[in-house]
Amino acid sequence: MFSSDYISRLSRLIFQVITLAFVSLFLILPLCVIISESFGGGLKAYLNAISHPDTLLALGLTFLAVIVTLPLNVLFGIVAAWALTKYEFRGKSLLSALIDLPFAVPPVIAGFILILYLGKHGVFGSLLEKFDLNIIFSTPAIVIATLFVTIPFVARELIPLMQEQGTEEEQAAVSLGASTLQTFFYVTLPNIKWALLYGIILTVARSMGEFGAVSVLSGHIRGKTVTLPLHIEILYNEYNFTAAFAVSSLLMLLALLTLIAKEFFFWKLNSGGSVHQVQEDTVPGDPAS
Amino acid sequence: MKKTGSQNHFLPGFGLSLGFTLVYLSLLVLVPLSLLSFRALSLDGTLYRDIFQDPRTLAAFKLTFASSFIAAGLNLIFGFIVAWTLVRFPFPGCSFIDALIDLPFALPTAVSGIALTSLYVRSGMVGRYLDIFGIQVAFAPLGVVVALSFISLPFVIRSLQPALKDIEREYEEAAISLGASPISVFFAVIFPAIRPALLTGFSLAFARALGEYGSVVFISGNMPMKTEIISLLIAGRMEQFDYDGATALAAVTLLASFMILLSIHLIQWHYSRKIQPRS
Amino acid sequence: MSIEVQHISKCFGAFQALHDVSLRVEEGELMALLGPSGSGKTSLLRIIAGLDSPEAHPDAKVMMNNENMIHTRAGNRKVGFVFQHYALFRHMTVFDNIAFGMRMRPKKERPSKKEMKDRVEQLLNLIQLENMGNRYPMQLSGGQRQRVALARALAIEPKVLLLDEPFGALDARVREDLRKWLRRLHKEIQITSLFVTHDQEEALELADRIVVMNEGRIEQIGTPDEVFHQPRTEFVMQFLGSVNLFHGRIERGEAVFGPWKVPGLLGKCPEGTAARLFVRPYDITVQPDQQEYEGTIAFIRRIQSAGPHVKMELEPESGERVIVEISHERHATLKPRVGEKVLVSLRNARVFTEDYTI
Repeated sequence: MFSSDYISRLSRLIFQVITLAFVSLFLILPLCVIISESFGGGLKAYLNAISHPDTLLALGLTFLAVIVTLPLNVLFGIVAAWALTKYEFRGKSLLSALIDLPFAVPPVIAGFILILYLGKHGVFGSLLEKFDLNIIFSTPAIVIATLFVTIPFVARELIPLMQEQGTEEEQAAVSLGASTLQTFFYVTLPNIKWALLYGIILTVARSMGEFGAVSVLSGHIRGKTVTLPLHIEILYNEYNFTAAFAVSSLLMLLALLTLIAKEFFFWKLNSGGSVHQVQEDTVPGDPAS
Repeated sequence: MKKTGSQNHFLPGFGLSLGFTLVYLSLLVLVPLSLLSFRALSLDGTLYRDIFQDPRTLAAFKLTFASSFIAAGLNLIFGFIVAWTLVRFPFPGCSFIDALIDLPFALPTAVSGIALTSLYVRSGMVGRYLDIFGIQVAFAPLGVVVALSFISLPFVIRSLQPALKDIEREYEEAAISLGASPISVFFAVIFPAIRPALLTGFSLAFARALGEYGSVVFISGNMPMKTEIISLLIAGRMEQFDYDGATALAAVTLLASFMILLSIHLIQWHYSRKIQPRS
Repeated sequence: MSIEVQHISKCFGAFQALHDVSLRVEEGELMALLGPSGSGKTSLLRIIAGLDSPEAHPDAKVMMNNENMIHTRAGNRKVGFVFQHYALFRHMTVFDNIAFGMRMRPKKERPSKKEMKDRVEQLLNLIQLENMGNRYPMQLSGGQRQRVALARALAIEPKVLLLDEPFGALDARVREDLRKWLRRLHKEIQITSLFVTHDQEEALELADRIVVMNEGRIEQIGTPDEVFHQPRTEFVMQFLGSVNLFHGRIERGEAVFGPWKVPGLLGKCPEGTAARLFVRPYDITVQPDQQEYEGTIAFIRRIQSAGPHVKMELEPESGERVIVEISHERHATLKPRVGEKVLVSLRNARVFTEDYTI
């Protein structure tokens, strides 16, 4: 018979080996392949690929989508989390579920819905038609699609935290004469800043990489409505693998930076709540002293 | 949504914040979604009949739902092992692995798609070894499963980790002291404790996998009847400006996925009701 | 500043927390709102602070110095509120916490940096945390946090101080020390104060007057002496201090509770009315079973002599058991034994019937 100590050490080892093998094969190997493939044609080919005007245009559009999406969805996330956690009203859980809804809509379907909504024959689209505006297959479409798929991220990070923190500090602020805005900026925001940054990082990562919704809305007009992920697709379908991987390596770098930032914010978020044990002090003396 | 209790909350701004939330959500999500439902309801019924009679569409449905289900299931197993190791058997470099778990989420799916494809094609780093055994991953249904497993991995692990951390070692020790074997400890003590987290992780992974497009289009080869997913069919209809066909497909897909997610929620609710004391 | 509330009701869904409550706190008074949890005391305090609003009623008023503030925002009521769990801003130092109220004022009314610093230091002095200004709330003990919360409330120079269970979350010993300290502080600054507590000892020791609340209604308002010695309702009698309760009814003008009889009710109560008799454990005389003494015969069932008094459980020949408290001196002369027969008589017994009280 084996001793129970032996079994527990063996099972520990088995778990660790499986984990290491799984992570290396499944997560690390794809990263290696991106790097090796992107430098497969030499450094010069790599630099050519990432400095190609089309790549730069795609980078610009991706950047634009992030820049427009981020403030809007951050504002929405904060306001929605504020409404859901600081006030009592009926239908709260329904609203909370609605905020999550974009998660459950496949991106391609999201893109299609937006075509129905904004396209020539859509409700909103026919209105835009009158002003001779065509949103579909243009930059605004890309931005709106990105907006749609990243709606829940900030709110999702903030709601549980704000729920847990309750409203006592806000009540204290109000009783001390602070206005609603003052209460938010001086009391609520400092308490949620790391969770907010965490949500921002998730939003950036997703808006940078969104493919499905953007793909059906862009019309693939090269150099005009192509984001970096779409640019990769075009290069790949042209069998220009080295260039496709070179551009991918850029996005991979951004993803890794995202992970680092995310780890940092997450660490900050969780270290903020550490409790120091404090000995009860001596008896207070006379207040007059 | 009427505010209960007093009309005059200690913190002014309720109307404004709720109003903004509702308007924003309506403009971007609710109105577009209801537009789809109206359109779907006003369609000719034959369109729906066609969906269920067209073998190509049916094959796509089968592939999408089956591979999402398998991918989420595989992630439950491997996700549990990884999460358990990270929580219980940490080793040097564990925090690096822990950070890396979110990679599939942070990496744009198109990038994941081409990376996985070049790994798993016949001449690829992994594919060449699998080829010896006659296993084909890229441009085969298996490739779809691999891609979906990859992109949905973080959802399972991130749901499991906090639940595993919460399990007190005392419970296991109590079970062992009562003579339970490691396997019965798992099924009697650990599994019930993490069941809600497993269900949450599964439903998140499944939902994500159902809608995945970016990585699959590269690795699957998009062969009709064989490796075509629904998202691709919908995109195809749109490219041909067959909006009615796309509407019908989208409506059926959304309905099916909502119903699956809802039933997972119901299972979860059923179990949570058992555990929590009635208040 | 005096506080007066009139016709205040409050509902939370189907639960009515306050039923038409009216109350006046005089200028400079330290008043306690005493009651069990769910009695509505915290709701009343929050309504006075403006953190909750009462149900609409044409005569509902929250007056400060005879001026109706019911529609005034919490921040403009000049009220200092101390929260049960302190609600200190966790990301701010003690100094910033205390200065918060001053910093939130509109620019014109805001004191200068120097004035603010002086004021905060003065308050830190008052709460005896002179060197703690740079600490964060997490680094303080419960008692220290409580004092910071108080200083923060005082920093806005409130006309009224409201405290919600100020010592509820503290250890017994710290609680007692802070109680004494608060009493002295109140004497020092003479600010109209209203505090909520469920601890009768706290209320009796600290307050000038006590408001006893139950199920959203005021049972009695009076000095600690009045509510303790002349309880107006059964609830007050039972809530403040321990008490023996006997159930009985009116028979021929006497209230009869097993072996005990209380005369003097002839013509005042109809026959057969249910009545309840209350008597404090120390208001019971115990004598040896000898000729010269009078009383009801009872047997000693249990004696517990540890503690400030000696407690005995007596069983009369008929009727309910009685708890008696006697002094250790009396115990020494009486030398009671378990199983012994003694004579028992009641003093200061109070009888409550449906609509009559002696």
